[in-house]
Amino acid sequence: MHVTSLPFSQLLGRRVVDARGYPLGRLADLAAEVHPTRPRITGLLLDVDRPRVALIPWSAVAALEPQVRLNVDRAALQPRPLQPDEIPLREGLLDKQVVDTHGLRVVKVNDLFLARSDGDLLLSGVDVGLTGLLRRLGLERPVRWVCARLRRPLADHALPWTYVAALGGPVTPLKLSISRERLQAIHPADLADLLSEMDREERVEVMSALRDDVAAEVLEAAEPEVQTHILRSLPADRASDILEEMEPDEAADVLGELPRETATDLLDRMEPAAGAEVSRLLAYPPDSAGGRMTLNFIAVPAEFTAEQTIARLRELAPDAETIYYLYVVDDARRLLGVLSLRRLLIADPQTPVTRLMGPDVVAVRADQSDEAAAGLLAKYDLLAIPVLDAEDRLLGIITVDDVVDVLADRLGGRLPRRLERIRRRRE
Amino acid sequence: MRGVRRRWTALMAFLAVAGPGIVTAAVDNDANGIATYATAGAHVGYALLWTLPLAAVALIVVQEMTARMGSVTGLGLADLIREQFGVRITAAIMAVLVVANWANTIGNFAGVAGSLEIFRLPRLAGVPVVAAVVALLVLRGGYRLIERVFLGASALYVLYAISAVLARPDWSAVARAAVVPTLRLERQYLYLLMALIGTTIAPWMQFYQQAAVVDKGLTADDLRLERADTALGALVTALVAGSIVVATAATLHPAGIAVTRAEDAARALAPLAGLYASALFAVGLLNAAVFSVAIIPLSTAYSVCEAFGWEAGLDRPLRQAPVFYGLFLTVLATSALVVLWPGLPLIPVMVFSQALNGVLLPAVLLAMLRLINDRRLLGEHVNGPVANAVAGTVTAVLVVLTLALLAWSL
Repeated sequence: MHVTSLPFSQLLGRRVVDARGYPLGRLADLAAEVHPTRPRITGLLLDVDRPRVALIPWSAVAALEPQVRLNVDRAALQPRPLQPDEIPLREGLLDKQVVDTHGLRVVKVNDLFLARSDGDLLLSGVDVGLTGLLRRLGLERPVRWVCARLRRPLADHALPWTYVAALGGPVTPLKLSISRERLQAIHPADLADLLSEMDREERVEVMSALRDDVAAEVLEAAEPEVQTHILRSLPADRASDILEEMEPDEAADVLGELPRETATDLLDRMEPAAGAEVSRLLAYPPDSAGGRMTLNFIAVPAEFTAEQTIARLRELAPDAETIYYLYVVDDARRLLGVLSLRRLLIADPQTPVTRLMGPDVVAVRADQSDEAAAGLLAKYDLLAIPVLDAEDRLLGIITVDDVVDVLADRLGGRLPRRLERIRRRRE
Repeated sequence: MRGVRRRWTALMAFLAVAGPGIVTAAVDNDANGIATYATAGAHVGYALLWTLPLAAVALIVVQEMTARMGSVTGLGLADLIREQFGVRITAAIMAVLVVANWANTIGNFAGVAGSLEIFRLPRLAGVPVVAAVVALLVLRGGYRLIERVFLGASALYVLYAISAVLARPDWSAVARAAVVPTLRLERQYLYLLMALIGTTIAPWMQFYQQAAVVDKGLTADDLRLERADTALGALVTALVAGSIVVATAATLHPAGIAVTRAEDAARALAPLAGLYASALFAVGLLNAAVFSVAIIPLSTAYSVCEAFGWEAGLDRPLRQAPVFYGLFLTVLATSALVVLWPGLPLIPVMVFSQALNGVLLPAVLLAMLRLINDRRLLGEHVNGPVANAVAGTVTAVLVVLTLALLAWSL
């Protein structure tokens, strides 16, 4: 199979003539059928027609060089409107931002590559490099020549179509199912980074493409500004669905950044149980231990034996943030002691937990700073630390995970934006 | 605080407290603005005062357009231009922007040199030091520090208002001049008119304010507040400009002092500060100049990278955003170099940069008018007839002035 790639920008503006050579107009756009691997060109649009209504089917095209020649007479032409599964390349892709799902970047489309294959013309790739820009400025050849003389040949930077997730802009939202699938293959933490480079509509499009639980993970990992932008831009019902799926402490952090009315509205829309948890956390300042804590911990009554405790653990473990520490509380939920998973597992099943626990507990008060909590975690090498109110009642716990960001930020060295990581990809 | 903003990182950090319109307006009165207003007042007295209310109206209209585009589409101006007009027109407009901003930065470095000369510091030593300090502060994340100092020191502009009152101007003449247009068909007069418009409505301001609106996450629901913010900013700009013109017109014009050096302009503060007028003026000028030589090259780099999809942001390593850092440093360094030219007349260079802004502005305005009347982009928020008429008039006036000045020079 002979494959030559043809830059889309070179076709745009070419004269289109019918079978007898009668000029019909100039090429304004091409439409492509959306397909995961073979996006076929289905027709062309002329500059003299209104956009999107008069598509001349590709079967009517006889030649592209040196001008676009049709194989029918203009009287026999049967233009049709653009179908929902077709995208206009110039309007929907050219000069727009797309996600490079392989390199995990947001890039601008400088040009598109078309390739012939089995009689069809396919959209084969997306030019996101300098060459595409130069080509459209009419400078590709001279610059290539100069670069070749300098022995620094100009490198092309094209992405295969299969790596691209296209979102479209405010004018032409694409809502492509292929883009959705491709976005879902990206790790939520990486997607969160990409969001910070996207525009409002693109972010909404990405978040709409994800399941609630994945969207929640993405939102948890996003920068605070991005989080608030997204919650304000999404429909309120969808936003509250995503908040329900988030860890309550993360959800509380995000809501705390929103204007009061917006936050109250979203809280009201959440399921009562999830909303109540978040509300409780919202009562604490975000940088206090109370604001940083999670409510998913395992507490056991003082009367329990080791056996009963293990049964309780089986029940609660799926939701708990950590299972390595279990907290023993009295009837008033006052913290009596901490029990490690190791002590529990090696103990005789009938031993009361009060005999297994260490009564000397390192804890913080809810109104102390999160830095104090981080300091204690570090000093005593703990995985989690309980948070108590003024009467020693257990409110929640802070895990090492919760304070890693605190430490990283305040130490000054933020985590680099784009961390190199070894990726395992589903292709 | 955790986190970074998206593309215009750090540049927008302080917008969390101040509105985009007010901040843009505060930066608008840079060293070049001070020089231009002072020159106008000294050379033609109150005769150009009438342009300021009109320019303020035009400024409100243009900046409101840009704020509206940003909040409705959620896209920056450079992004919108690229997505709607393609590579060629984008390249042309970016070239215009880079040239205008370059001229602005050169002008502001001239302001740095001028204020240093008041303190008897040679520009050959002072300008490179200021350039290096600004580059270091911006690259090392001290940008917020510059901002705070700048915004605080912007209060110095009040001094012009006080000085204008103390100079005991003929208030009836001032009022008449502010309302009744007088047009003199002289080259000098038209040139100053061009510079006055160019310094009030500069091309970078539209890119800057729209980016600020987008980064702040404002939507069409916030339009009313954003309009008030824009109007307030423009009024402050016009008041400061008016004060400088009145102060210089009342003190320098009758004495026949032509402003060629910063020291000449400083004398306008004499009614207020007496012997300390020069020092006070120098501090104000230096403050305005230093902030602008940080913000304008940075804003240039952000706009160009936004248009072409290159990575940008002070939070990225050099290797990831070479064009961004390259542009910022090139504009900064070459502008400082130009000012080192021995005997370069500082104030005229500053005024010239503003006239050049006026010449280049129509390119940006025409693109904006196309975009803002596009119903697919803005829906019900497209321009009304009044906004179109005002923006169209500004464009036409600038083109006519450009042609007239060209004809005169030939």
